[in-house]
Order: sequence, then C-alpha cells, then structure tokens
Amino acid sequence: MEVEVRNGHFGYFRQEDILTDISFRLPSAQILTILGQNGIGKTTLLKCLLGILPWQKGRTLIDSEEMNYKKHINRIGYVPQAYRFVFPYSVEETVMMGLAGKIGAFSLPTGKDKEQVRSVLAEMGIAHLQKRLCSQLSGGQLQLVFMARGLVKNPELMILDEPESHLDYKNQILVLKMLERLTRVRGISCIINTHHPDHALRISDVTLMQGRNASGEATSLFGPTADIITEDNIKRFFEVESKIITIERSDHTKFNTLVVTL
Amino acid sequence: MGIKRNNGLLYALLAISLLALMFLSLFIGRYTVPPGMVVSILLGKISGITVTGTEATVVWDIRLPRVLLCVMVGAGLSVAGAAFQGIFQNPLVSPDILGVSYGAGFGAALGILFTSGGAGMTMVPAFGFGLLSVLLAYTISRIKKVTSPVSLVLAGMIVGFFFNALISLVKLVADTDSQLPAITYWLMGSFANTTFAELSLIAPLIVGGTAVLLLLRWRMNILSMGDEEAYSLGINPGRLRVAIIALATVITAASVMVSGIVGWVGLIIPNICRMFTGADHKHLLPASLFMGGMFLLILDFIARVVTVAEIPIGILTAIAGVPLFIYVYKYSGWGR
Repeated sequence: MEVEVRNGHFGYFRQEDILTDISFRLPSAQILTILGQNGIGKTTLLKCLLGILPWQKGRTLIDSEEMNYKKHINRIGYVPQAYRFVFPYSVEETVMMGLAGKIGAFSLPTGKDKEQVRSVLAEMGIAHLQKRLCSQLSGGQLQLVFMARGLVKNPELMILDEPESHLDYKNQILVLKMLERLTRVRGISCIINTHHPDHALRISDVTLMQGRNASGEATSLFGPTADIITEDNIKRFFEVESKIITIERSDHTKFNTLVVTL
Repeated sequence: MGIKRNNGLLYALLAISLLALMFLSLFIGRYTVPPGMVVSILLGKISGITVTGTEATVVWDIRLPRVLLCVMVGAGLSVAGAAFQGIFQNPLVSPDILGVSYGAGFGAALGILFTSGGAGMTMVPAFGFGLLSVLLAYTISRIKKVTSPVSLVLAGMIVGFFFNALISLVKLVADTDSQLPAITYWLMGSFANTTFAELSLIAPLIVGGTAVLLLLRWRMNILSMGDEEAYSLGINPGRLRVAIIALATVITAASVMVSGIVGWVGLIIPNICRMFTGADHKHLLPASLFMGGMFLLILDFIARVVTVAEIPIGILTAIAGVPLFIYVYKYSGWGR
C-alpha cells in the first residue's frame, strides 16, 4: 500500500499548531520512520493518518485515492503503545479483537478466525502465551501481543507507535527484525514512530523528522533516511551533538549507526 | 485466574442449577406443596386441564409468576450491568449509574401519588422517567466539547441525585396513611404479589433487551477498549454505545416498574462471573444471565421463607451485596 500525505495541518487549540505542513510519500513495501523528541506530535500524526483525528488542512491519499475510513481501515493495522487494559483479557481474546472489522456486530468469532489468531501468534513466536492473561505478561511480551493484534487481519499497511521504546535490547532488535521481515517478505508498508535515530537508520527507507524552529513553530523534513538523519539535522531537531559511524559486522556486512557525543 | 476454563461445562452447570432452583422455589415455602403435585399442576395447566384447589393457586398463580419475574429481573439487571461495565470500561458501574433506577423510581412514586397505586399507572411514568434520566445524563455529558466515558458516568450520578431528591419530595407530600408506606415499600423492592398480567407487561421488554445485548456481546469487547482503540480496530463506537445504553436502560426501567429498586445485582454478578469466565463478553454475558437469575431467586427465597414478615428484596440484595463486593474487590484482577 502506498501512503501519501499532502500539506497536513493539525492543532488541538486554534492558537497552537502541532502539525504544520506535513508532507511525505511512502512507496509500497517500504518503511517510513517518524522521528522527533517526546511531545513533538508523533502520536498525533499517526491519529490523523488513521482518521481518528481529522486533518484541519491537507489530505491523506492511499494508493493515489482519498483516504476513506470505512474503505481503508480494514487494510491498515494499528499498533498503539502497549498499555494495560482495565479488564483481564487473555492473549487470544486480545489478538482476536484485531479482526473486529471483519466480524459482524451480531456475530461471534468463527473457528477460522481462531485459526488466524493462532497462526499470527505462531508467526510472532508467542504461541505459548495464547491462554495467558495480558495482565500477567512482561512489557516485551505485551508489545508483541499488540503487534499480533495489528497483524492478524493481514493488513497492507502497519502503523506502529514507538513499538520498541519500552523494551530491553534483545526485544528491541526482535521487534525491528520482525518489522523488516514483514516489509521485505510480506510486502507490508510500515510507518513507525520512534525517538531512536539509530533504529531509523537500521531499518527505514524514508524518514520524516519533526521538530520546532527557533521561533517555536512546528517544522518537518522528509526524504530518504540517509539524507535526513545527518549530524546537522540531529543537532537541529534533537539538540545533541552526534556522529554517524559505519560498523562492520563479523560477517562483513555493514550498517550505519548514530552515537551521541554530547 | 490461571486455571484452564471449560465454558461449555460451566454453562451446563449454571443452567441446570438455575432450573433446579426454580423448581425448588415452586414447592418450598410457607405453604409446602409436594414436588409430585407441583409437576402435575404444571403439566395440567400447560396441557389446558383445569386444576383447582389451594395447591394449584399457590403454585400457579402465586409462586410461578413470582419465580419467573425474579429470574427475569436478576438475569436482566446482571446482563445490563455487564454491558454498562464493558462499554464504560469500568467494573465499578451498574444500571444505577445512569440514574435510570432513580428516574424510574421517581416516576413510579409519582404514579402512586396521583392514582393511589393503580398498577398500570405506576408503570407508565416509571418507564418514562427512567428513559428521561438516561437522556438527561447523556445530554449533560455532552455539554463539554471533549467527552469521555467518565463524563457520562458522572452525569448519570448527578441525575441519580436529582431524582433521589424528587423522590423525597414526593414522599413529603404523600398521604402518610396510605401512599407513603406504599411508596416506601415499593422503592425498597419486592417480588411479592406478582401476577401474570404484570409479568406479561414487562417480559417482552426484559427478554427482548437481554436477547439483543447477548447478540452484541462480542462487539462489547471492542467498546471496552475505549473509543480511539475501537476506531483504530475498524469499529465506529458512537452509535453502538448509544444502542447498548438504550437496551440496558429498557431492561432496568422494566425491572424497576414491577419490583422497585433492586440494587447491587448489576454490580456484583458480572464481577463474580468475570472471575470464572474471564473478561471476554462472549462468555461473561451468558454467565451473568444465569448467575443473576439464581442470585435473586435465592434471595427472594430467603425473603419469603426465612422470616415471618417478608423482607423487601432490595434490603437483602444490599446486605448480601456488600460482603460479596468486598470479596470480589479483594480477589478480582482489577485495581491492583
């Protein structure tokens, strides 16, 4: 699925614009990372994309046509930042909710739906958690459950809100690898919020960087990840000195990462 | 909570227990009727043969409508409670939350005041004011631009207080010899003196409302995740929430019309059931239906058998409800 935003504007109050003139284009089967400091409006942007919040100006295009909630929502999997529910749902019950758009108001999940849940749990490597209650899981396991819920409907676009932010190193890499595989193997487009520029460098094709200029107005940059994540831009948007370095793995493959030097 | 659940077995057990309790309630009482005679009276009445005698009157005209009403009100209030808890994402709410019970209570008190207790005349205003209180609560919750499920809960409580004050006003002006005792007794809740005529009036409302809520039960899971989550899962929560509120209100108002304010059932039963079935409304609603029916049946049994002067059921539900609630509060998953 190809996603394009043209001149998106949004503010909760009239005086203050959180998102100004957001424009980007994500080609099919690629990864877009949205980078910015905490509180800069990354989650707000995702909500505008989903249609939970309305753009005040501008528009979203899906495969070159106007985004329509009813028409497109069942092709989009959304993964919010993991949180604990009020009610103690099991993993299986939670992931099943990802199929809500396909199960009628007066219907119950069928055996086929259960099969679909089981296969996505296996794909995420959490089949053994199926009967456990979400309230008993660790943060990393819970994040995987949320991802499974977004993935269970076989979406063409996954939108993830800081999927790796509360995880330890091992789980961070696990999630990043999973996203790469979804994109390269299954051809799913991904939009990922993160405040880790090094994660963006590792997996993304294109990057949108959000920040504020000297007079406090919202501003953003968009382009291929390598062009956007530069030492200059990191200084401008994150207010830290940094260095981008190339690292060679033991199997001689190389990747870029970013080290904060201040 | 970690035990493996077998919901099929649970339903079967619940259904059998409920039927057994209903049957027991028919022959045990101040006037004991042998079980064999109960069966022959029931069979006779159903097949159209005229059965007469004191036993027939006791079983068919007095006990059967009372037992049926009891089960219907208990089941209806529990399902309504489970639905309210789900859509407001709050295990601490119940049908009283929207002020429905008190609105309906005020309507019935008005009916008693103006007609001195003609059955039909208390039902119409009870139902009307029950619905009015939801509409009021809903309107109040929307006067701010940004609304959340909590604003509706708050608005419901405010409406409840308001109608409670109006009930006091009605009591103040009521005739102290006849009307005041009638209002007070009715408000405390009772299943005594139930007739088939009353039953046939409210049965379609309670049965119909409960049936539709049961059909919607899996969707309630989605609403229990909150509006934004529901929206991102592909469900527009607005209209569905209003429909569920309306159905649960119809059930509550119909219950209040015939049996007064029976509190606590809608709060406790879903919480107890959640400990057995888990949070999934697919299982929570049917389990609440059976458990609610049994709970009220047992309490009504105590009300009419154990004491000489019949205790109003509303008092018993409160007395039994408080310790049960404390137990549930300690051992259920929420509020850790």
